[in-house]
Amino acid sequence: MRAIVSAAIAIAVGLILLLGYFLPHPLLQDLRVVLLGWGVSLAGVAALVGVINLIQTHTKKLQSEKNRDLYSFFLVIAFIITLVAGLILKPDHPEYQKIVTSIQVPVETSLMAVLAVTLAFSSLRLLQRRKGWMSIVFMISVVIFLIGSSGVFPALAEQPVFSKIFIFFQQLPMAGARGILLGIALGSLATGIRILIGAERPYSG
Amino acid sequence: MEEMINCPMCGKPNQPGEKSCAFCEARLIPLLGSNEGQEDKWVHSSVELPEEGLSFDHLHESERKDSDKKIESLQGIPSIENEILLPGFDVHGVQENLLPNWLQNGDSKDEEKMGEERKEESQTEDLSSMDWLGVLRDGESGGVEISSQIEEIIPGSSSWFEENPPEKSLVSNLEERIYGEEDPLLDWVSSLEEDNEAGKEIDKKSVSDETDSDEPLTVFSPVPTDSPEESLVDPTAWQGTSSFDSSRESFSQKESELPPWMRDSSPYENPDIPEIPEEKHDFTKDFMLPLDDEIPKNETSSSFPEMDLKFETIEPGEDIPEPIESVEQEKSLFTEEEAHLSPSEDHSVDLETMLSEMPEWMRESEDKENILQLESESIPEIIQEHIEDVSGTIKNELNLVDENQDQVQNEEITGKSFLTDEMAEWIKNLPDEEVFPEQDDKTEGSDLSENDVIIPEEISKPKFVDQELPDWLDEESVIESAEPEETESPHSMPLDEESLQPGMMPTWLAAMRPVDAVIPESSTLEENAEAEISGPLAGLFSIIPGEGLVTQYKKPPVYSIRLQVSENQRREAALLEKIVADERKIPDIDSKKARSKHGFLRMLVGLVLIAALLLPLIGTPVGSMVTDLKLSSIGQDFYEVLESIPQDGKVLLAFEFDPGFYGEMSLTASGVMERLLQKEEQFVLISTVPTGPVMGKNLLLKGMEQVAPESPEVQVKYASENIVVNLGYLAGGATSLKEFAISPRKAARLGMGVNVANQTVWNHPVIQNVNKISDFSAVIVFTDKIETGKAWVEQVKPEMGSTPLLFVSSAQAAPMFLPYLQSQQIQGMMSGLGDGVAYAQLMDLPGERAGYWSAFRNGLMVILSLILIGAISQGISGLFRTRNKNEA
Repeated sequence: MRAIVSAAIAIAVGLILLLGYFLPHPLLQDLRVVLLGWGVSLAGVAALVGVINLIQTHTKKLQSEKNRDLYSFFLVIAFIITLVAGLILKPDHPEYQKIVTSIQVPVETSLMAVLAVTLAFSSLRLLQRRKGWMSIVFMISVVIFLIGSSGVFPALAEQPVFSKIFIFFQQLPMAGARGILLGIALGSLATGIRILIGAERPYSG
Repeated sequence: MEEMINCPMCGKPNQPGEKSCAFCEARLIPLLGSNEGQEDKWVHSSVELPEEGLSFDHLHESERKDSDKKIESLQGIPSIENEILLPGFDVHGVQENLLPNWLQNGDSKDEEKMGEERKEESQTEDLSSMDWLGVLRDGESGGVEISSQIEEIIPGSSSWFEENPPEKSLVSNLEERIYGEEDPLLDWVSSLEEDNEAGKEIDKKSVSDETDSDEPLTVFSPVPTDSPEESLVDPTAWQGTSSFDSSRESFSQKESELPPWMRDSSPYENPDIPEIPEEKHDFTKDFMLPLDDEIPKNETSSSFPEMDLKFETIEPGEDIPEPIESVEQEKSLFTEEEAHLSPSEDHSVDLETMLSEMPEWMRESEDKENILQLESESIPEIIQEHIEDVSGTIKNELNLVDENQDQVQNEEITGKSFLTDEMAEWIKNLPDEEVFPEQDDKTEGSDLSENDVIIPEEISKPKFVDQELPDWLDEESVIESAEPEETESPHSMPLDEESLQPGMMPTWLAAMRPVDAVIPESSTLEENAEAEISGPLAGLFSIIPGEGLVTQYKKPPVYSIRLQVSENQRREAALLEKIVADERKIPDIDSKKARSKHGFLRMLVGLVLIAALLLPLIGTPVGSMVTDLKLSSIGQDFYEVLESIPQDGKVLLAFEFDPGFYGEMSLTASGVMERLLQKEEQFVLISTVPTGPVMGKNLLLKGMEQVAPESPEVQVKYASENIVVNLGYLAGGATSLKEFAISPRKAARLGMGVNVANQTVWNHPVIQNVNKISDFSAVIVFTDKIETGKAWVEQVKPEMGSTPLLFVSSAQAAPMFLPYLQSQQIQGMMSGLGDGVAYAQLMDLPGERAGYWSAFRNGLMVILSLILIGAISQGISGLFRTRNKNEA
């Protein structure tokens, strides 16, 4: 019974929103706005539930005697400090924003730097670990795009022959990306249809 | 000296030449006229038995051969033997005995052979009578001893036959009618031996009844017929069936020759008509009665099922009843017996009345006195017994034929059922007491079969045994009594339980038997069980010997479970065990060796990268410009769109990137932000990423610092947030973007950092006139992810109308937005550090971008160098390995 109700609600909401795209009827537009508002509210509550679940999980880890994790302690402490600071200073306070800019941005940027070093080392051993035509093709494409992105040879890019070559290489990613986007679009369309007809019920748990 | 003739009735000697007994007036000479002159010879020849016994098979065979002929001759003979053919009495045997040449029919050789065979089987079969018969057959060859014995056994038989002429009588009529049907007497005779033991009991009962009643005995002495052979012998008549069957067939064939009244009442035509239950007696049986145990007792009771006769069984040691000395005595005895058994009726036999009702032919052929004598007096008891036997047999036979057996039995008891219309008138008019004398209570109430025989009292064993029973016959009888009976008549129904054969229980019935019926009784177990000798249970049976079990306890034997494994199997098992052990074994990690090998290389790579990045930053002066970098064509479009935004326009800035990409995004977006600040645009900040609003504001502040570092007014202007509205974070991702695109006021109601008290963000002067997304001058999305960029294109762009949508993306997400850029869903895009630096160079914006750009480029070159070095080194090493392998 519960599955039927949830499926009916999902299909009805999907059809109303879909009709709202194609039919400029005020009622459909109003319904669509209302339903989107409910969805956003539910998404906010879901984010809040997710935050609470995260804190509970790490709190349990702190209380656990076997698998006690000190990182959970730092996470919980950081969450409490940020929450208290945000409630006190408000999110737009410059000092409160330094929590993000002075802590979170350097941390994440450092991770990206480590990733850059790891990828550089991996590229060194590319042919050593995996030998094959695809590895060679991948290596050649990397070399070409690195050279093109580096701007090392700007003078060559101005040459008619090399300019066409650079334009060709710049459009190659576009072709691949378009194919990926088309695949994503078709998959999204099929998923939407399956949800509308009730064949797929990701909301049923 | 001539021999004295013994009376067949009383057994007393008479003078030779006399035709009737001086004591009982019984006929001493056989009635067979043709043999009259040969009487003595016949008597002698009949009793002189050969030493070798004659088998019944031989007799049967010879009888079958000449059955028709004999029957015809028998019927053609106007003698009493032809008329008084008793049931159970083999006609062929009689003929064979009658005719002197009956032995000639049988091959003497065969007789000898059969005699030998019978000798071999003499211990298992009843050969007493057969041996006797053999002796009788061989009487002509000179055996004389037996003739005297027969004369003694049947005293006066010869004279009796002489006195009784061969005329038709009531008995002969009955005999003919009887032979028309199936004669159960054969079966009775065949079962005679089988029910021997039962017969004994019946005899005993008869004796006991006799003693209780204290009535005079009705002695039925053997009645000699016209042919002494008929009365003396033919044991095949009660031993076999083939002869009688053949005779029956012959009778049926000669039925046309019968008198009309006989044919009319023939049982063949009216089988359902009950026959006249005349009392008949198998004189052969009477003759064999002295054989003591040979005669089955149960059959004696059944042979006279409805006869009101007194039987006696004289046990050895008892007083032997005296033979009837005269006809008067016999008659008196008979009448007394009837009177005793039927007290309610008039039991006096009115023979004269009966004779008056006899048919004319009978009266013509027989004078009244003869008839009277035959019926009442002169008819020997053997004939009367035979008549009784026949009547009982007929009635039993009818019992089988009639469907309503009970009713028929009742009728038979009363005898009325036999008086049908088709019977002779004189028979119908006969009183019931005469035709069907009341039966004794014992026999009446018992279920007597047709083959059951009741031995009359006067012919019971002791009478003969005590007289002249030959030794050899006595021995045979003893042997036979001890032998089990081989054949059993299918119609026999023994009376006592001992003679009953064990029935075969059907399998289905056996399966339904209770378990208790199968399990041996406990008494047997108790008998087999041992009593407890000691302990508190001493004296009890079936006690579990616990003490013995305890004392007998011992350690259970250990059986070897070692497998018999061959050498190959053992080797394979060891290999499998080794493989499994290797799988479980965790290889030791040589941390020092791994660290020295890969760590150094990694450190080297890291140090090279750090050096390549730091050197440009350190060496490049701040504020230097990159001169050799040109904006791409896509960047050119972005620049044009951005420049097309009107001054003091309301630009919606969406910061959809994480702090990790802040370095790249800040360098890319800084030029755009500076340009917007230069154009004094109004900014509305929004993000679907939680850190997006902070990142946006931080970029804006840095842009202010770059644009007007030395203009406090500008800083105050932007700092006062009069030109900047931060709508904050939109929860819900793409959904919230759709809502924001449709109804921005509902999607971002509160905003973040509103300074106006008691006012919503939408009351801010920057956006107070904005009601929809298309009211913004431009929408610039700062993103490093494909998903967020797609969401803006797919969900917001349709609501934007002509408002341009510009993307500032990271280098990694730019290729995915190119399709949207080519489809004009995105009006312009700047991606990566190169476009940012190029846009700043184009806009002539000072900053630190030159140093970062140089560092970035150096880093790319280092990475490119590493890839090439690695590829070359791997290629060279691969070549060396191949060469080494080839050399090896």
